[in-house]
Amino acid sequence: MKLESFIKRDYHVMSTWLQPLELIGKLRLGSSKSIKNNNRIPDWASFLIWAGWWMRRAQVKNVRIFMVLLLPTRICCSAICSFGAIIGSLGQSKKALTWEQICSLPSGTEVFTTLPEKGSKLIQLKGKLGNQRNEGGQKVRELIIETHIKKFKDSIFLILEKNPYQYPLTLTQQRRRFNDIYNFYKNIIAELNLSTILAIHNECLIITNQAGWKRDICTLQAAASDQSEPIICDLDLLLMPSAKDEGAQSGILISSQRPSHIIGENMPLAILEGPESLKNWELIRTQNIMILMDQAEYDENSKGILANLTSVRNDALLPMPEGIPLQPPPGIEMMMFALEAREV
Amino acid sequence: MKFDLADRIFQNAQNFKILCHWLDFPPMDELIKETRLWFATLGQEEDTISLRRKIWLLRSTAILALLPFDSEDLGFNQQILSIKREAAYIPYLEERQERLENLIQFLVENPDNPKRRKVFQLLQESWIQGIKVGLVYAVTRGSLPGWSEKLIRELQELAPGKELIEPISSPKVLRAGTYKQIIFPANGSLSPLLMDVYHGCRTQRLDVVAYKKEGIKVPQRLTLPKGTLIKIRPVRTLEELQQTTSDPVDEWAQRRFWESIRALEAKVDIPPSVKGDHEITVEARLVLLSNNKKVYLRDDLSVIEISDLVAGLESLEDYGKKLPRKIVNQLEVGDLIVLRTSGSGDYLYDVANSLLEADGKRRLRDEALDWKPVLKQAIKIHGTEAIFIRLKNRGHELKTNHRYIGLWTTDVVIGPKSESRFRNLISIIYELGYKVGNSDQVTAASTRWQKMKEIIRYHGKAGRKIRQDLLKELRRMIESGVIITDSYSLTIPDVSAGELSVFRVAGIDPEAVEIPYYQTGLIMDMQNKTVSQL
Repeated sequence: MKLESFIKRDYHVMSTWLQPLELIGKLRLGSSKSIKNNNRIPDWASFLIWAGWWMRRAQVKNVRIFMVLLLPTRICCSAICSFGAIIGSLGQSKKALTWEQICSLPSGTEVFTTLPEKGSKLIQLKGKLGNQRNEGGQKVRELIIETHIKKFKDSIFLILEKNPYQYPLTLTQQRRRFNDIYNFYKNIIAELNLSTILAIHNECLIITNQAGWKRDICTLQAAASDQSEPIICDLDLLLMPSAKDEGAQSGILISSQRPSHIIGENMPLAILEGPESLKNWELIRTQNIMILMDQAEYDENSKGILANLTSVRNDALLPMPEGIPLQPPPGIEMMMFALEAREV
Repeated sequence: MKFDLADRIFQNAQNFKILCHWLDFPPMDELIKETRLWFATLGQEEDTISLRRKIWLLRSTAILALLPFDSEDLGFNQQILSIKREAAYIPYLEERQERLENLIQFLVENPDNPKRRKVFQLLQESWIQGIKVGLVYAVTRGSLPGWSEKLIRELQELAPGKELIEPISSPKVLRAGTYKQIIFPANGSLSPLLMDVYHGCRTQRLDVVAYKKEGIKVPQRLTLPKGTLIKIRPVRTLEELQQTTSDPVDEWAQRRFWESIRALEAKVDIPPSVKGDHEITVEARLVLLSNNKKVYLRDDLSVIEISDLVAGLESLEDYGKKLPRKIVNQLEVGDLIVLRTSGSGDYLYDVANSLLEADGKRRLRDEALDWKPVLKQAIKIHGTEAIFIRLKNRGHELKTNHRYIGLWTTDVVIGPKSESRFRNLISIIYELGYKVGNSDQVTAASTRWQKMKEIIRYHGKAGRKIRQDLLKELRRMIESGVIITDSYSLTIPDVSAGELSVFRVAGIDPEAVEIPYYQTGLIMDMQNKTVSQL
C-alpha cells in the first residue's frame, strides 16, 4: 500500500476509542489557544467522546443503561461526552423529529416541514402542532399549516405514528449558524444531510452547575478535517445548546443540579455531574444515564446510591460495547449496568 | 484555558509519583512516643478533653513545624506552662510532665529543625531548575502555631522569584491549577487537602516529608460497587507506597475535631436580643471562618460567595442584577462568603424597617405580626402537632415536619405562604380559645394579611437596595484589587443597618446538625465568645 493512501485511509486513527465511531475525517479537540498547533486528540478526550457516543446509541426498549465514570477531574468532561452523544445522534441519519419527540412537544409548538415541489425544488412550510388523537386505529397528530401560499392555506396535515417522516418536521428553519455546524460535521460523519442537523432535538441533558459549565467550555474548540483545511468551531456552537432566537430547537439541554421537578422524559441520555446531581437521579427520566464524578469527590453517599442501583441490575440486559481497548486511559474507572425500566 | 488544565490533570494521572523523605530524628520520635503515653494515661474521660487537646496541639506544633524550634511563633514555653497548670491536679502525671518538659526544652535548645532543612533543600533544588513548587500550607484544619504569614514571607524571600513558590492553603487553591511538584511537609492525616493531594492529580510529583515515627497516611479511595462491566486503570504508585499504621493520637484529633467544636455550643454566650424561641430547631452546618471564627448557617440557605469574582474568573456583569450565591452544603474551603457583622436582627429586616420608618409606617410590622405571639402561646399549650392536624383536616397539608409551624412565630418567615392557609391558621387560633386583637377572626385575618403583603413589598424593596449597594461596594473592592486573606469589611453607604464582611471559609462540617434556630448566623470566635451576628 502506498504511504499516501495509507495516510488517507488511516489518518484519523489517533485513538482506538474513536474507531467504533467510524468517522470519515480527522477530529481534534483543544482550547482556542492550542487547537491550531496541536495535532492530536488526547486519549482521555477520545474515550469520553466514545462514552457519550455509545450511551446515545445504546437505546434498548424498556431498559435503562447506566455508565459511571470516576475521573481525575470533571473539567470539560460532560461537554466532551455530550459532543460524542451529538455525533452519535447525527450518525443515525435521522432526517426529522421522531414520533416520540413529536409527542413530547406541547400543542401550539412552532415547527417546519419541507415538501418536494415541481422538479427537484423543495418548499419549506411553517406550522403549529395540534392535538393528538386516534384515527382509524392508529395514533395521529395534527400539523396546522400557517402560510400565504394559496394551495396550503389553512391546511391540516396528519402526522402518522407509523410514518412520522411523511412530513419531516424540524424545530428550526435553515439558518446560517446551522450551515456552519453542518459544514463541520459533514467532514467527520458519512452521508450527513443538513436536514439531519435541523432535526436535532434534545439529544442530551446535562445536570450540572450551569455557570461553571459555561466557563469550562467557553474556550473549548473542535477541528474537523476531511482532506482540506480543517474547520474549527466552538464546542458551544456544535453542541447546539438551546438558544432563544432559534425557537425550541436544541442539541443539548443544561439543567441545574437541583431540579425541582421530573425532567428528561423522552430524551435519550442524561449526564449527571458530581455527587449533588447524583442525589437527584430519580428526577431524571431519560432513557440512559451517565454519571461523572472526580476521584476526590466520590464519597460514601454516592457509593451508597450507586450500590442501591446496582443491586437491582440485570446483567443480561446490558449490551456489551465492542471494539474498544481492554483498559480505559490512566486514572479513569468505568462501570456499567442496566436496569429494567420498571425498576426505576 | 480549561481544556489545557484538564489535559494536564489527565497527564498527571499517568505520570504521578510520590517520593517519601523519611526523617530520622530521635528527639521527635521520643516526643511522639511520649504524647501517645499521655493519651493512654489520660484515657477517654470527658474531664481530660481539654488537657488532651493541649497535648495534641503541642505535639502537632512540634511535628509540623517548619520554623526553627526556638522560634517564638511556636510558643512552646507558653504551651508547656498551660499543660503544667492543667496537669497539676493530676498527681500521677508528675513524672510524665517532667519528661515532656525536658523533651521540649531539648528542642528549644537545639533549634535546628530537620524538617525545615529538608523542605528548604527540596525547594532550592527545584528552584535551580526553575520549577514552580506548591507547598501544602493547610497541614491541619484550623490554625496551628508556626504556620503564619511570616513563614510564607521567609520562603518568598528565599525563592529567586515569588512565582516559584505557591502556598496551597485550601482545596480551592490546589484545584485552580497544576504543579510540576508539590511538597507536603506532614503525614497529612489532619489536612483538609489530603484527598485532593493524593487523588486530585494536580501534580506530577509529590514530595512527602515526614518523621519516621510520624508515618504517612494515604487516604483510601472508595471503589465503585460491582456492576455488569467494570474497566479500571488506577493512578500508579499509590498501591506501591509503604504506609504506616495510623497513630491513635491523630485518629483522636480527627474524630474529635468537629465533635469538640460542636460541643462548645452548649456554652455559647447568646446575646439577649436573640434569646427565646429555644424550642424551634433547624438543620444547620458549622462553617469555620478564617481569623478563628465560626458560624452555623442553615443548611438550605444560599449565601453570597464571591471567590471567583475576586479571582477574576467571573465578572459582576455575568450576574446582571443578581449576586453569585452558593448553597451552604456546597461551600468549599477557600470560598469567600459575605456575612453580616454588626447591628441586630436580620439585615433585610433592618433595612426594611428603616424604609418603613422613612415612610412613616414605623408600627406596620407590629400591627401586621401581632398574631405571632398569640400563635406562640397556643403552641406552648397545645403543641405544634395539634395545629398541624387541624390544618391538615382543613386541606392544608404541610410537606415538612409539624415543627415547621414553630417557624411562623419567628422572624425567619413572615407567615404562611397562601392567604387561605393563613385564614385557617387564625381560625384555629380562635378555635383554641385565643384572640388576635379585638376583632373577629375574619377581620383579624383580612387586615393582617393585607399588612403582611405590604411588609413583603418593603422586604422586596430592601432586598433590591441591599443588592444594589452591595454590588457597588463589591465592584469598588474588586477594582481596587483588594487581596482578602482572612476577612474584609464592607461598609455600605446610606444603609444605617450595619456592616457586612467577606470571610474566607476555613472548614465546613461534613455533617449538618439540628440546632435552635437562634444560633444560626451568630459569628463567634473559636473560644465561643459571640463576636457578632449575621
